Order: sequence, then structure tokens, then C-alpha cells
Amino acid sequence: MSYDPRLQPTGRRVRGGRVARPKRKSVGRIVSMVILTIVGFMVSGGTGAALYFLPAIRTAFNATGKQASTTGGMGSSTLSATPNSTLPPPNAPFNVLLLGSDNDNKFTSGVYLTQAMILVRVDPSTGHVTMFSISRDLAVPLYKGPNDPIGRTDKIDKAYMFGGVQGAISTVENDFNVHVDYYVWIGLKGLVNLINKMGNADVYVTNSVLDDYYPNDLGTGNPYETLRVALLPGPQELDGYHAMEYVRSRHGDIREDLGRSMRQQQVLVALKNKEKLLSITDIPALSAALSGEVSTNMQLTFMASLRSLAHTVTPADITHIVLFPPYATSQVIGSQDVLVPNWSLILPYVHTYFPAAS
Amino acid sequence: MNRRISTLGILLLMVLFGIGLNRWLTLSQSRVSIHISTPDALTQAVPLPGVMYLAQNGILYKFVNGRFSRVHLPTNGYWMQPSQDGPNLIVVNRQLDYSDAYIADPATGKLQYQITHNEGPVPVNPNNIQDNYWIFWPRLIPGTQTLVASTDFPKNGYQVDFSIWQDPITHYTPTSSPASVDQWTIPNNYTGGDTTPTPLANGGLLFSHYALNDINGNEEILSVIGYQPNAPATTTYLTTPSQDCSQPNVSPDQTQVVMICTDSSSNTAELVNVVTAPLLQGGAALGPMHTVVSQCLCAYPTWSPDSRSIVYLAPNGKTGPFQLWWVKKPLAIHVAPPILVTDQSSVSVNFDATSPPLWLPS
Repeated sequence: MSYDPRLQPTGRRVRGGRVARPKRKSVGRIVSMVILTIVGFMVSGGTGAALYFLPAIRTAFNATGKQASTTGGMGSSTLSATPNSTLPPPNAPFNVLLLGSDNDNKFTSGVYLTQAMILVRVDPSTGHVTMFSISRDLAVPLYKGPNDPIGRTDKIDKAYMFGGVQGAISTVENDFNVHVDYYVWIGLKGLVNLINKMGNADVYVTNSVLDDYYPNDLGTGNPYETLRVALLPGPQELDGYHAMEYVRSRHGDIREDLGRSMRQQQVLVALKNKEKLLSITDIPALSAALSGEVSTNMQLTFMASLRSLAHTVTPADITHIVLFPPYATSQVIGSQDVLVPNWSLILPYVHTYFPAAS
Repeated sequence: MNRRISTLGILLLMVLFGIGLNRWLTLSQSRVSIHISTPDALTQAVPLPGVMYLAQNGILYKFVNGRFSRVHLPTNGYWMQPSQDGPNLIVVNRQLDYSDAYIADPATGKLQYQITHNEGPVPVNPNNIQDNYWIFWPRLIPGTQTLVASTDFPKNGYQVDFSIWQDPITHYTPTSSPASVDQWTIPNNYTGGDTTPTPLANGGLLFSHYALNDINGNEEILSVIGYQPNAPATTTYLTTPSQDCSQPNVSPDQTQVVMICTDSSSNTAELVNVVTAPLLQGGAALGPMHTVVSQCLCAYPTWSPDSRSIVYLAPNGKTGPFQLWWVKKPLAIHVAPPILVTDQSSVSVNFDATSPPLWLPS
């Protein structure tokens, strides 16, 4: 057998000193290379995107999908939570309890009052939203768990202090005979950061808000420090701090906490309007702003599905409820100014918007 | 060798792709993060007749022939709410927890006179506004040197409401004596009080007066436009609570008023209408209302010096930074869409919507 220099040991034919590969094998290698390159770019891009979305992933892990528990309240304990176990089916109406806490350093970590308590009913099929502000001064029997009364009647803002999220949910569920599907808790700094990151809240300030004793407890060493506040009336853009002043001040309002409740609903609607302008690329910045200042039992996928709903809701689709007299009347009990509920009026009224749980 | 170089090149491209994607995501955050520029950075503003003064972020700007320029007031504090005092401006300097009114030369920015003295002089003069008082919307009564403004004087503990007072501009010293002739309005307690005093050429005054009202079972604080021929006097209310009108501005020829009204039966007003009405009986009555712009977040509509057109501040859309808008013929039966004066694609101004524009002849 004579040596043919055009044949390599592998049997490949050499042309002009270069190895000519069998065609099929060459195509296979090219395909492999292309696939490898694509995978490489995907891995690289995925890493870049993952690093970008890392704060969101971290916040999502820490803040969403929570089980409501008494953790955070005085005498913390872990109770099994009802809300997650009875989530509504997709596209069914659902109720969300929004809780806003004054979480400055006046309070032990996690043991807070809730300055804002708004029960929101969302009907995805009709796009209708009902916002029911529960005044913090409403004197009600407090609960620490489902049908588990603390044994005292006090302002409803203490339900969270005594029983954490579960206490707040159970108190609302038991006293108003409604079901709470989800909750969202947010702290003061979280709300300020959220509004700033969302490009401020554009609201119509209905009347001047003047308060010579506004608590100047964010970012100051003394949580009992006060500040003079003057928010002028009319349409305007409020940054996080001024929006906080708007929803928190109550000394200068003849309606006291009820006026504040109305302002809180206004800012919520303003944020809903801003939400329409957000994109997925804003999620990390928003997540970073909320880090440690928010918790919810909603899953991320569910929250994402709410975005498209928020886009379709118009002001006409929103019903606002605040319990003015005769639903609740001001009284001084002990040394406290409280609102005494008239349950025989409140329950039928509330149940026209929020179905009775039992 | 070539293959190695190619492989290294592709690997480098992969790394750059990852970094690039990360940067692109960072840079492509949403429209809420619009870059806000100072008005003097705008190059394409629509020219309007006359001279206008507007405030943004505590700085006063002059707008002439489509160009903004800064009025170089001192950098201390937040300047807003300009009004006219002959060739000078009356301006409010807002600090963290008080405000004072000044007279300033708009050409040089030099302060000519300090009208109120929240912080002094020392020792405290009890006849001056002292120590933690607000003063807003200072205006001269036409043809006089009498200043009217809203201040939170007097107040009592938690009860802090604006009321409207007048005094000579060189001696603006509201006093709370029972027979005071300086006090124009007595506010409703815990409503925020009376705002936006608007002097008329005949010496009368229009203003926004706030009161608690029951609207569909909800307790709402709503505004009506009040009129008084002098101070003190009985107030005539020109609008109804359910119309919820405020921020009146009178045309220089004293024939029309433009204002904002929510006309809202809901308990949480979100948007307003810009409304005009003929000013009748020297200000004691209004003619039929005419809606110029509907359902916007519009603030401080202001008549042009020739009383023919108006400007106002509002976002471009339902939300966003406040721009300057112009309505050429607001009294037309079918009003043409407003013109966005400060239209820029990549940058945006954000005027202070609590500071009314001041529009003067050239």
C-alpha cells in the first residue's frame, strides 16, 4: 500500500496542504459552535440581567408571599394564618388590607401602631375598586387571631401592636365580618421612598394643611421632635416627604383622622396613576426603596397580574368609603379621643361593598 | 492561533453583552424618571406676549419671547408666588417652617425691602409677624401701597388657619385687636382657612374660602369664591360648595374671572376643570360659568395682560411634571386645545404648582 500524502491518518483528504473535513461533520461542528455561542450570550446576558434585578429578587424573597403571623406584635408568637390558605380563585374579587405603620424609633422594632388601615376590594372582572378607610381611632374589640379576642376594646390601630399582621387582619375580619384575602404592610420610610422612586405623587390638595405639631420623626435623632407644616391647596406634585405630611397630618383638620383617611385614599389613587408609567426596569429601584419596609402575603406573580388591572381602573371605577357620623361618633373615653362605632349602621353599609364572611 | 483569537473575541463579546444589557436596563428606567431641567435650559418654548414670572424648585424665572432666564435672588430659601409692585416684584421666601415676603428688583435680583420678619428684629416687636408664621399670596391692592396676604395669624395651639389681612406694605403688622380693620376674612376653624386673595381695581377682594360640607354623606372641606367690597365686611359667596372653586384670577380689564373647580360629587377629588365666568356688579356676582379645560390637574390659571388668553400649570397628561400651558381664546364657544408652551422631548421643566404665574405687559 503506497502512501498517499493527501490522506491523513483519520482518512481526511488534504487539499493544498489544508485538511478538508467531511462535510457532515463540519456542519455539525458549526452548529455546535453557534449553539455554544448563543448559550454563552444567553448566560452572559442572563447574568447581567440577574445582577440588575438582584435587589428585586432579594426583596421579593424577603417581603412577598409571607404568612400573616403575630410576629412583630407584642408577645410575638407564630400563629397559622388563614389568609394564604383561602386565597380566591383567579379573576374572583378579592380583599386586600393595606396597613401603614409609624415605624420610627419611638417604637420597639416590629411593635407598631397602624396609622393607616384601608380595606380594598378589587373585582378584576368589572375593574371596580372599593377603598374603605378604617379610622385608626375606631374603638373596637381587638383580636390576636381568628376568633381569638385579646379581651379588650381599644383603638384599632393597636391591633397590629398587640397581634402583628395577624392581629390586624383578625380584628378587621371579626369586627366587620369580612374576609381578608391579602395584606400589604408598609412603613413610613418605605412609603416616602416608594413615592420618590415613582416620580412623586400628583394630587389635588383639597385645602391647606397647616400643622404646627407635625411629628418630625423621620431621619431625626429625636422621634418626639415636631415640625411646622404648611401644604398649600390646589393641584401639585408632592415628593415622598410632603406626601407623607399630607397623609399623616391631622391636627389642623376639623375631621381629624377621618380627613386624614380621605387624604390617604387620594395619594393611593395618585400612586395608581403613576404606576401606569412604570416599566419592568423600575422594579429593582422600587424594590431597593422598599427594602425592609414592606411585607405582604401576595405572590410576585399575582402582584404582576395586578398591573394590567391597574391600567384599566379609572377614577369613576373607584368607590371611596370613610366612616363619618352617624357611622362613628367622637367621644373621649379615659384620656383618649376615640371614634365609637355604630355597628348597626356600619355592618350593613360595609357589606354592600364587602360581602359578609359568614 | 486564529481560532484562539476568535474564541477569545467571542468570549469578550459575551462579557460585553452581559455588561451592556445590565447598563441598558439601568438606563432604560421608566418615564417617571424624566430628567427635570431648569427652565433656562429649554430652547423651544412657545413665545408668549409680555413678560411672565414663574417659580421652579425655589428659583424664580423670567419668561420673555420664548426664553427663560433666572432672576438672581439670594440663594437662601425657596422663592415663590411673585406679584407686582411697580417695577419691582413682591416675592415669598419660604423656609422650612416659616415664610417671609420681600420686595425685589427683578433685573438685579437685589432685595429692596423685607416686608415681614418672622425671625426678627430682636428684640421681638409684638406688632410684627414674629416667630413661626406663614405668609403666602402677597398682593398689592391696585393703585395703593396696601398689601393683602394670607397668614396663619392669629392661631391657637393646634388651630392654625389662614386668614387674609391688609396693611401698608412698609408696615405689614396684623394685630388681633377685636376692632381691627386690617382683617379681611375670618376663616372657618380647622379648615386650613382662606387663601389666594385677589384684589380688584375697585378696592374689593376675591378669595378662596374653605368650609366643611356634607356631600353625599361625606364630610368634605370645599372651597367657594368669596367677595368683599372692603375689610371688614360681609362676604358674598359667588360659587357653591359643590362647585368647589378656588384660585380665582381676575382679567386686567376686570371683566372675567378664571379659576379651578372640581365640580365633584365624589369624596376624593382627583382632577379639576379650568372655568371662566364674567365678573359682574364690580365683583359681587358672577355670570354663567364656561369650562375652558376639563378634567386636568391644572393649577393657577392666569389671564394675559390683554385679558384675551390664559396660561395655567399642569402635567402633560394626568400626571407628571408641571408644564406651562396656553389657551389662546378661552372665551370662545368651542375652545381650541391648549398649547403646551414648554414642550421638550428629552427634558422637562417642573414648575412649582403652588406658585401662581405672574403675567405682565412688556
